[in-house]
Formats: sequence, structure tokens, C-alpha cells
Amino acid sequence: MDELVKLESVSKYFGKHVALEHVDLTIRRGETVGFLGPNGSGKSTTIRVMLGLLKKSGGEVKLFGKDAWTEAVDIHKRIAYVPGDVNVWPNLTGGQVIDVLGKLHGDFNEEKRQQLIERFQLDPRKKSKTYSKGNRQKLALITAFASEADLYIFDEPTSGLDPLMASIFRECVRELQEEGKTVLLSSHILAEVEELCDRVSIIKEGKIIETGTLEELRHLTRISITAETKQPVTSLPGRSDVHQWEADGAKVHFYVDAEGLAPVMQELAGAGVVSLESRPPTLEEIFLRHYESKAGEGR
Amino acid sequence: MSMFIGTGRLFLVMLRKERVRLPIWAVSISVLFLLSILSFPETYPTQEDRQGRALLLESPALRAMAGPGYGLENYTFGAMITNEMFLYVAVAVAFMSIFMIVRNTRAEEENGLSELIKAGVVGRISVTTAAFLLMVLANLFVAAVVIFGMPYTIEGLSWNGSLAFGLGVAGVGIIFGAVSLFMAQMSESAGAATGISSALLGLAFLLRAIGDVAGVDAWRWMSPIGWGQAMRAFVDERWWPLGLFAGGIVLLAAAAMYIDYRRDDAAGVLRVQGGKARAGSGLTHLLGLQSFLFRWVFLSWAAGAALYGVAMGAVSEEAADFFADNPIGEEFLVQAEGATLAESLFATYMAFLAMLAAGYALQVMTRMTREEKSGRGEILLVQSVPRPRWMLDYLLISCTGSFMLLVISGIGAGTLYGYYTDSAEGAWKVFFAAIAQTPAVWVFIGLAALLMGLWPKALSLVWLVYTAFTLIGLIGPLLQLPDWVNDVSPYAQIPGVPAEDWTAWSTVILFSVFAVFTVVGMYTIRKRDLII
Repeated sequence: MDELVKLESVSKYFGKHVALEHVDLTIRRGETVGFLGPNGSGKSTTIRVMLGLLKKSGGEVKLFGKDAWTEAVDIHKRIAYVPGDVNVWPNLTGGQVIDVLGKLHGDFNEEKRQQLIERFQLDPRKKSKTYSKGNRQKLALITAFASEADLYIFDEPTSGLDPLMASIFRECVRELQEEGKTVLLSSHILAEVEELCDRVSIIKEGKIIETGTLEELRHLTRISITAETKQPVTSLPGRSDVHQWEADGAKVHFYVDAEGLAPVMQELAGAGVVSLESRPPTLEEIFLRHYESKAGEGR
Repeated sequence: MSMFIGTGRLFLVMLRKERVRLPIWAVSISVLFLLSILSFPETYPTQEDRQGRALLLESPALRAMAGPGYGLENYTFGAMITNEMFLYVAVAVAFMSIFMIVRNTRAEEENGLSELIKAGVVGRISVTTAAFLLMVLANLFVAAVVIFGMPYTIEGLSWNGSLAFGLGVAGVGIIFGAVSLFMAQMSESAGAATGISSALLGLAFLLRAIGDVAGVDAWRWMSPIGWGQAMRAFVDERWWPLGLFAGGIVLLAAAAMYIDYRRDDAAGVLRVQGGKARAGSGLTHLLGLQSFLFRWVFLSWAAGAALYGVAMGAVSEEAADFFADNPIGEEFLVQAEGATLAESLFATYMAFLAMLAAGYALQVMTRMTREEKSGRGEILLVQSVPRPRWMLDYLLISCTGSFMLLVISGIGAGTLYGYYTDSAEGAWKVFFAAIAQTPAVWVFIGLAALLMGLWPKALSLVWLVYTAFTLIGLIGPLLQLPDWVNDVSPYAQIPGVPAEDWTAWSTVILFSVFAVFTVVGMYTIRKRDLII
């Protein structure tokens, strides 16, 4: 498969402050990749290095096989980008802003523009200064979705949108996916990423700490088990692969590491299991575990 | 009364918000005024000098830009101040009031801040009332400094006259504050409230100018500025125009409060029409967009340049006569053999014109960092706009715009001068002197471009350089600075045309500096991080 985006060991320093440290990220044609991390972890910096707005301090950044810094303008022609904080010219109306940005970008679909304005319920006649943050975000989203591009980059696109509008955003992304477009979705809304993305990279303090498909991430992490047994299971709480043990009479709840699942199941069977519920971890659990445990290790 | 609840606390909050900005306005207006009259006794030591000055006011052009001409027959310092200074102090306090009122009322409503405040235990019209009170306080402060300062600044100025002058100033300031208080209720946008109020101030200026030039009282009485001048401070004080001010202020403030009490939050009386849903073809290319964004900036500077040009042309002959009798002015003038005094005067005026044009040019150039920091630069640059191309628009708009300002001013001054002297050659000389300033102005543009590429965070330094050279140009001759200080100034590189002969080499050198700076700026802007 084509690799549209390839970041290899990319670092970025602002003076002495290390914003990115050896970041690797690959996006293949037709994929939707989720980019997870809390505020200040380096998501926006990574994206801006990809767009050639910031110059990398080390490593290699290629988009469409071109250097992100020296060939930025050629790359931009094939990209539609929605920044996290959309600021536009206060004295232009929303409709004017969309036209200006769309025409400057080049490939701009008039028909889609009208449809999107209706779908996102935007009043294009109002001056931009009267728009809320969500409405300004809509301007950038409409422009991006109405532009012909190969790669769509969204930086926290739904942070100002209401749930209804956020669901329309997800619809639009799914339409892009059906057309075979490639998407990078930076977000900290985990449900959104879980629903839309094929693969996920988690960034923390400028380093990528986890990357893979959701299934892979789940395999690597703990499974939530709720069980009821005839006899109490005494051997499990001591095991090193069992976590957060909670017992309530005959009912127990705990997490088990993926590789410890088989022996734990045998123990439960031996204790005369009555009911059993197992659930793979949600992305939120994966995410929180990384942030909590690794933050603890750092100390 | 519940509609006023919280006014006191809101007043204190506003006072705190304004603790820097409002005092800067009030102190600069009053102190600059006192400083500017400080030199009068030295400039016009004898009654004869003063009467000579009074003759100037016979000219319609100066009458329009000064005052009604009270007390010309016995032109005392007091009469001089009332005729020539009142107008400008009054206009300055009026602007202070308009800006302060709008930014504390409609502007906060527009950006949603007042919603938070009005949701608290705050009466319906408390914000309006608090803003009104603060505006009155600021004007009274200016009036107090002026009233108590004047008799100490120039010996012999009467307390009565000072009081009439100060109260007249405060009257104009407060009534235009009340006008903007009313407009802030009427209009849904802060920009429109400021714009309409300023336009009304301009109208008031114009009405009294017509009245003063034509000597028709009816026109003067239509203008609040005329009311203040009609108090005849230092000449023959009259107090009853204060009644006009009081009536107007009460009427406007009451109307504003009535509307505020009745209307919805964030709503206005004048409906804002829906804007255009589509961008025309003029907007959807980069230069078109930037020109659109700068159109008001350019138009307001163009109005200033036109006014300056016309004033230059109108006063040139009379002013030359005046300077002929008045040695102190000579320090300022370009001295050249074989030049008429009017030509020397124009040469000096033209240097000021260059400063004006450079002010516009830098306002355009320094906008770049603001765009970059706000993220508007980012959103443009990712639409496949190369960075040098982005900078090029600012260069084009500042270079052509500043050149146009020189042309506009040059046409105004040249035409009038040519008309007075009945000489097409004179007109052309003056016009050429204006456009000959172009390279000095462009050097500042080049400096801004250079910083934008190499050290964007320090772009505002160009203002410092600009202010330094401008001050040297304005008051350097008086300070008797060493020659080299003046010699490094771009303004000083331009020959003193039309008094001196124009030479190509200085123009070539300045253009080369501009070109090198610009090229380096456009090259290095590709090499750096965006400021985000």
C-alpha cells in the first residue's frame, strides 16, 4: 500500500523545550488514522511539522513522497486541513470566508459547498466575528469537505460542535472513507476515534507510546472480567497478571492481561463458574491506563 | 430602583479595566495641550507678533481649521488659545469618550462578555449607567487639569477664561460620549456605533467650519463644537451654552437608557442587514482579499493625506509671510539658496508628509505578525500559498498605498499652490516634491520586511525606529542634535525639494536599500517556523 505520510524519528525543539521526540507515524492510502493525546502532548505540533509550518529539528517528514518543508506548497494542494482553533477575518461573512479559502485551495466543489452549508446549518450571511467557536469550526470543516484532496487532516475538529453537528461530522468522514480518501483525525474524544479510525497512535509528552489497530491495542491490554463462582477463588488476587480485584460475595470483577486469560479461565472453571462476562477494554480504558501508569513510572 | 442595581460595583470594575488606557488618553490630551501652549509667549513675545498671527485667521482655509475668530482685534494669548486650540482639544476628548463608551458597552455585548455580567445581580441599565459615569469622570478630569493648568502655564491667563475653556471642552467630550452611548444602544455592532458617532463628530466639525468661514451663526449652533467655541473663553465669557450641553446630554443619555431598558440583550434598534453569502471574484484571490481587508485603513489615511495636502497648499503663501517676520520658525525650514520662502516651507512640509505615509505603510506591514499569531496566516498558508507570495501582498499594499498617499497629498497641495501663484510650474514642483519622498517611505517598508523574515517577534521594533526618526525630524532642529543623528534618518536623505534640487543618486541608494531588505525578508521567511 502507498504510504501517503511517513514520519521517521521526527524531533522538534523550541529552544530547550522538547516538543517532539523521535516521532514515527505512517499513514497509508485509504486509511483513517486516529491521533490521540491530551492537550499539550504534541498533536498539533506534529501536524504543523507535517504541513511545513514548523521546521523539524531532526528526522524525516515525507508526505506523498515529498519533503514537508521544502515542497510544502505542492503538498498543500493535495491536503485539506482544519486547524484546532479556527480564526478568520472578522469582517468577512461566513460564506465569503468559505469561498476565499476554497478558491485559494483550488479544487473546490460548488455543489458540495451548498449541501454542506445546509447540513451543518450555517448562516453564511453573518459576519465571522459574530460566530461562536463551533460556527468558526464549521467554516473550516465545510471548506475542507468541499475541497478535493487526497489527505484530510482534522485537528480536534469537534471540540466546539454540539452532539448533533459532531455526528454530521462523523457522517462526512465516513463519506470520505467510502470515496477511498485518507484521513488523519487528531482528537481526545475517544468514542469518535473508536468509531471512525482503522488505526490509532497515542502520543504523550512528545513521544508516540502506542500505535496499531484497535484490535492490536486491545490484545496488548487488559480484559475486563465479571464472574460469579460457587466457591471463592482465592488464588487469583495474588497473580501478577490480575489487576484491580474487587470481590462482592460470590461476585468478582477484575482486569486480566491478555496473555494471562487462559490460566485465569481455568482457575475460574475450577471454582465452579456460574456466570461470566468478559469485555475487551474500551479505548478510554487503554488511553487512561497509558496515561496513569506511565505517569506513575516517570516519578 | 432595581434597574440600577450593581451600578457602583460595575463602575469600579470598569475603572479597573480602564486603569491604563483611559488615563493615557486623559493625561496625554491635557498635558500635550498645556505643553503646546507653553511656547506661545516665547514665539509671540510682543502684541505686534500676536496681531500678525491674528491676520492669518483672516484666511478662510485657516478659519475652517481653527476657530470662529473671537477677539482678533486684541489678540491675547487667551484668544489665541481659544481660536486655535479649542477645536483640537475638544475633538480629542470627543474621540476619547466615543471609544471608551463603545468598548465598555456594545463591544462587550457583541463578544458575549456582558451576557455573563447581566446574568448576575445587575440591573438592566447598570452597565450603561456605569459607563456613562466613567466617561463623565474622565472628561471632568481633563477639564480640571486644563482649568487649573492654564493659568500656571501662561502668566496672565484668567481663571474665568480657563474655566470657560475647560467646561467647554468637557461639554463637547461628554455630549459625544452621550451620542455614542445612544448609538451603542441603536446599533448591533460596536464598529457601527463607533463609526456613526465619529461621523457625527466629523459633521459637527464641518458644520462649525462652514459657519466660521461664512460667518453665519445658524451653522455654528448646529454643532456642539460650535457651542463650546461660543463660550468665548478669554474674550468675553458666556456661560449659557452650558445649558445647551446639559440639555443635550440629559436627552441623549435618557434616550439611551430607555432603549437599553426596553430591548433584548445583544439586540439593537437598527437592524444589521445580512451580509453577502458569497464572495465575489474580487475577493477570492490573495491580493483581492488583502486589499479588501485594508480598504478602510487606506481610505482613512487617504482622507488625512488629502486634508494635509490641501492645508499645505492653502496656507503656504500666508505662512511664508508669517515666517518671514518670525525668526524662530527658520530653524525648522530647509535653507537653500535661491529658494523662495514658500518653497522652503514646502520642503519642510514634505518631510512631514513622508512621515505620514510611512505611518500607513508600517500599519500595513506590522499587521503580518498579528495575522500569523492569530492563526489567520496559518489557514491561508495551508491553502497552497507560498510564504513569499503571502508577504508580497503586504508589500504591494504598503508600497502602492503609501505612494498613492503622496500623490493625493501632492495633487492637493500642488493644485492649490499653482492656483494661488498662477504658475503651472510651481504646481508641478510641489507635486514632484511630494512623490520624491517615496524612497524614504519605502525604506521603512523594507525594514519591516527584513524583520518579518529574520526576527518576526521583533517586528514592532519598526515602530520604535519610525518614532525615533520621526521625532528627530520633528524636533531635532530644536534639540540641536549632532548632524550625524539626522544624517542616518531616511527622511534626511531626500533632498529638500522644491527648495533644493532633486538628485537621483539618493533615490537610487534608498531604493537599493529597500530592495535588498525586501529580498532578504522574502527569502528568509521561507526558512523559519511560523509563530503559532
